[in-house]
Amino acid sequence: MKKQVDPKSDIILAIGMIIISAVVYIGAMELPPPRYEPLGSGAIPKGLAVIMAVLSVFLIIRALPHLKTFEGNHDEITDVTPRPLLAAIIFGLTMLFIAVLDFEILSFMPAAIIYMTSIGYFLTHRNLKRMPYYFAFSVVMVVGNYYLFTKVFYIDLP
Amino acid sequence: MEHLITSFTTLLQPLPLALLFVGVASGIIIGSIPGLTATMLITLTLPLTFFMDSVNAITMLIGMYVGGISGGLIAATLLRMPGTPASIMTTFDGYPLSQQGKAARALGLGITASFIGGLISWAFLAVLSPPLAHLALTFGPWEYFTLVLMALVMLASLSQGSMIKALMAAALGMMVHLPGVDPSLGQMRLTFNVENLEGGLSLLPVLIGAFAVSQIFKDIIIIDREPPRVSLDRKGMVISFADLKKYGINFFRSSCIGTWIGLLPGIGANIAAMLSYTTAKNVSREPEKFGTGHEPGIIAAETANNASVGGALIPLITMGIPGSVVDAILIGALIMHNLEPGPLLFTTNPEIAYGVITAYLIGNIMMFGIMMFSVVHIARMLYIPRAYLLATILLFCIIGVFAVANRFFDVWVMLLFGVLGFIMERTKMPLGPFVIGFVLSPIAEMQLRSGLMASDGSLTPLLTRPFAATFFAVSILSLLWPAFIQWKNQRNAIH
Repeated sequence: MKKQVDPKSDIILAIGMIIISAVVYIGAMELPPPRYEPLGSGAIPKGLAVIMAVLSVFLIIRALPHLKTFEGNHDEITDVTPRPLLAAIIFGLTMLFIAVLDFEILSFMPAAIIYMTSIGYFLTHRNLKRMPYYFAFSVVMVVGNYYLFTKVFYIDLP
Repeated sequence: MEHLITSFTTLLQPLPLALLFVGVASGIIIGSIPGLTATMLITLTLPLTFFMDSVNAITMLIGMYVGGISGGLIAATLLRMPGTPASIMTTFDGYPLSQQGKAARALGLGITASFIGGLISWAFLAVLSPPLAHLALTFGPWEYFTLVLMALVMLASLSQGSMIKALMAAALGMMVHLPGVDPSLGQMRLTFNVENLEGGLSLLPVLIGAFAVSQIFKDIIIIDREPPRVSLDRKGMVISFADLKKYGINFFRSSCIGTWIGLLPGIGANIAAMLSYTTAKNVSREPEKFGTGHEPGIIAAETANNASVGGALIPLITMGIPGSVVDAILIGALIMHNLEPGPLLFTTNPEIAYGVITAYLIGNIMMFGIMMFSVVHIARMLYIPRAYLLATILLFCIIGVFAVANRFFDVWVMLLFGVLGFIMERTKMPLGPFVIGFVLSPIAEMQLRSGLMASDGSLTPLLTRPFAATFFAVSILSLLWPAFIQWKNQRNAIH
């Protein structure tokens, strides 16, 4: 059975792109008019914003007739249970890790070991029996990368 | 010829050879693991190449490119899971043949096909590149602008799925490159008073975010998927001379198709494999056997996808236009090493231009050797627990991006583009046009503005300059052709 494209997601995508186009167009309007050349700084941003907006409108027009008739695709993934919440948790932990380093709350090694161990806890489905191995793996990875980047490549890590 | 020989002499030294070997081997390993791609590997390796000599860096990256495209056939054949998009067509016949107890034969055919495809396209690369570079020196701003336009439109029209979304992706990629300093006037634009945006968005955070981080989160969602265990031995893997003779025409035809498709800007290995497979099926006396473990199907797909690598390198080194998404990343690598991609590369940095050509040949030879001798061991990599692999790659993404300029703004940008890349894939908006748009945006803008300045604002050169007019016509045709085909099909359906 041929997969249909979800019209709702197309419409949301198109609206998002129209918003981005509007932001770019408004930002480009503040640029001074061209003086030494035909186009100037603002022409390309405005042109791209208009093209994007037009394409987005086409997408909405194409999606609207299918809104009522779309039955929904059978889930692409059928052999395993998808885990979007797990991905969201890992994403949150990653943001937290970056924030801890950015605001200099902890230095790289302790922060990274805690981060790797935490995501390992969730990626192994909170299996506490595997945690000692994962903790050891995290320490090796973090310390190894730290020495690789600071001593071999001479890059300062936080 | 002299430059080519010098390049071979330079490359056949311990360090470049070792780096090329590392590149090919890591490309094969990463390419073989479903969910990880050559694009991801090359993107993640870019920060490490800062510290290398330019020739060595490009050599290693070319090795990864060759290895990554070839490695995908392992999982495609054994598990029906393409290691890379380029190996999708290989699953059609590789997997059924392996299920008939002939896994070694299927792999041997695929590896040999990859090697022959690489060799034949190398010949085209070596012979065509210098004269094409010479021709490209006569190109002006209108030729370059229309070439970029053609690349973006062709990529959008040939992308699987919606052409509108592919064009939107290309436009989005071009928009993302706009914030920062206007290269022509030095005017700050679209920074919205954010100091960190004054330097624009760097290539690496955008690429790593869009390709690597988004892929990691996609893999986390299906982390419970375990590949089925498959036993494999090397018996029957070596292809006989009789087989080479039997499939000679297929090898040559598929190589030519792959090289030609690779040559077209923006179009990559998966399209080459698809076209070659379809052609092989159409000219075959036994088309019904395709998809059942038919050997010519494996040969057509694998020969073409590897040949497309050589073809894609031709516009890269002669004109600075990427032949595929991976080549767009290689352009980023050249820029990072203060090299200007384009026809002048052959004049100002011949060691790089010819280095690419020689690295491609030696890389193919290494790929053949590594895969023939180690495929049984490489296949074991398919079973590395995802929990360890994904966490390591994520950590490496963060450190690698931070290492670019020692600022966390880049890491936040990477995360943002990770989210964007994830959303784009979920909404079937292809990433390829986005990346090519991002990389080619400054070239397109600069060339258009230069052209208009030279012609006093007139667009007439688009129609009067032969090459520019040809590229422009192909762009329009590529835009209208899918719509025409759709209209024709609808009309036929009604009648």
